[in-house]
Amino acid sequence: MDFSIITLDNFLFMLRSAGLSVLIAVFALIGGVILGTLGAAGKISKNKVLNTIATVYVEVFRGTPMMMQITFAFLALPAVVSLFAGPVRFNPIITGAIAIGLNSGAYTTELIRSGIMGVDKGQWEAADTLGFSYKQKMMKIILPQAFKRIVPPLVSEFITLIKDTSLLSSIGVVELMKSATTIGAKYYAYLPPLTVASCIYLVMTITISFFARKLERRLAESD
Amino acid sequence: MIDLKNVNKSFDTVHAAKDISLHVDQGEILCMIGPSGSGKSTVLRCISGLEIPESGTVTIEGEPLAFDNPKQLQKQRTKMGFVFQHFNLFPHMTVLENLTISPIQVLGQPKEKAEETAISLLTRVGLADKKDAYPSQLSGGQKQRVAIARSLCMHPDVMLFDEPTSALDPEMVGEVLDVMKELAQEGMTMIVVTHEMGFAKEVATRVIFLDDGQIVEENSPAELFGNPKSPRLQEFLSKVLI
Ligand SMILES: Nc1ncnc2c1ncn2[C@@H]1O[C@H](COP(=O)(O)OP(=O)(O)O)[C@@H](O)[C@H]1O
Ligand SMILES: [Mg+2]
Repeated sequence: MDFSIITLDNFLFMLRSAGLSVLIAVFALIGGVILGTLGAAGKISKNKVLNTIATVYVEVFRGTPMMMQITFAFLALPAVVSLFAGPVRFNPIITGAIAIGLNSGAYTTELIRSGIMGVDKGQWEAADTLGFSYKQKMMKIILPQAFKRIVPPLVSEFITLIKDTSLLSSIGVVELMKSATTIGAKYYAYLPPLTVASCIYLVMTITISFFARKLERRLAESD
Repeated sequence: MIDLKNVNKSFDTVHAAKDISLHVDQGEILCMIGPSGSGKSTVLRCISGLEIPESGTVTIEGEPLAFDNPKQLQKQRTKMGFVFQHFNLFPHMTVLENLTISPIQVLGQPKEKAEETAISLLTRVGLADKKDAYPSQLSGGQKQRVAIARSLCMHPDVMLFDEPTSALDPEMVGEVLDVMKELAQEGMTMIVVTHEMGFAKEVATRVIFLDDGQIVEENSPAELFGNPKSPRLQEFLSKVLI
């Protein structure tokens, strides 16, 4: 394998693309947490309508391939918006980030829901017998304890998201994966840039895992 | 003060409380005994509103528990302290915070006042020096005493205990029962589910024996333990150490 084609310029190009991957993953994570919080609230709610909306959302986005969702978003979002706002062209980066965020929200819904429901039943009951309102019970007793259970899997979700951004190469977003194939096409040699890109993915995910374990230990300490 | 009329509660196929009627006056110490699975917890949890009976009414201080009105139910619950077998202290809060959170949040007390009450109650249960500890740093007996103090911070009119010493190592049972005896002497109305027959004999003003979801026998402790009438109670008493 000839790594001489990974010139400094090419390497910097890949690093910049990796930065975009992380940026999209961060955006999707934030969007996913917001959607996931709403989704979990819907799933826990006794309100039938909210509950159904949340359930359908989770099932649809967890039950279809993410590649399908990204392609759909790329084709459907502009079509829908142009019905109201006239012809538009969507930035594939923004479209992709929205698609991944929507997908992540479905997983995060389950993650937050199970974090909340996993808080010992005795905690809910103690709050009830002390006369807490539902809101006080959630804010003061349940969510602070659920938070500790939610953070570690949320970090895993972030790692998954970084890897998932590679799917956006299919709609022309020049993230890390796409940068590698672009370089590969230029030199008719795909393996060297793909190997380097894989290493960059690994460095990113291992670093996050490392800090996640530290954080987990800190959270566990306060128990 | 507390009145149950024909209360029924089932879980799936289990009829856990069968037509329970019960009256508790102010100042009474009612002990509920019976084999495991006889429905003691279910009855106590119906009184506290943790379980909603399918039929019958639970009345506290003349008002039926308002299961369809969360605000009112919340208010009614503040009149009843509940002590759990497994303490259920809030693990993410210090002992002092465990005691002050409800007075501050639910009763709207200023922090200083809530802390003052909390410290005096902690002193009463002998744990003032543990106010900054977290629950995980306490022994079982200490946790249960904190849990009792936490309930008392709400100035309840009645205290409900569900096997408060069953999860404790034997050497810690005494310290919790002592706190409960002191409460009884001060005139607190108490309903206590317990396997501590000695406590029931010594402290109760009345004892109820439950079996299979029904009140089988109800009497003064002297009569109930000294002269059990039903065969089921006789059998139960022959099996437990007194
Ligand atoms: N949440 C529940 N779900 C299903 N069955 C229950 C539940 N709580 C109690 N039961 C059943 O109801 C019966 C009475 O239980 P309980 O009131 O806890 O008895 P005790 O406190 O006297 O041991 C038992 O058969 C028990 O299995
Ligand atoms: Mg029980």
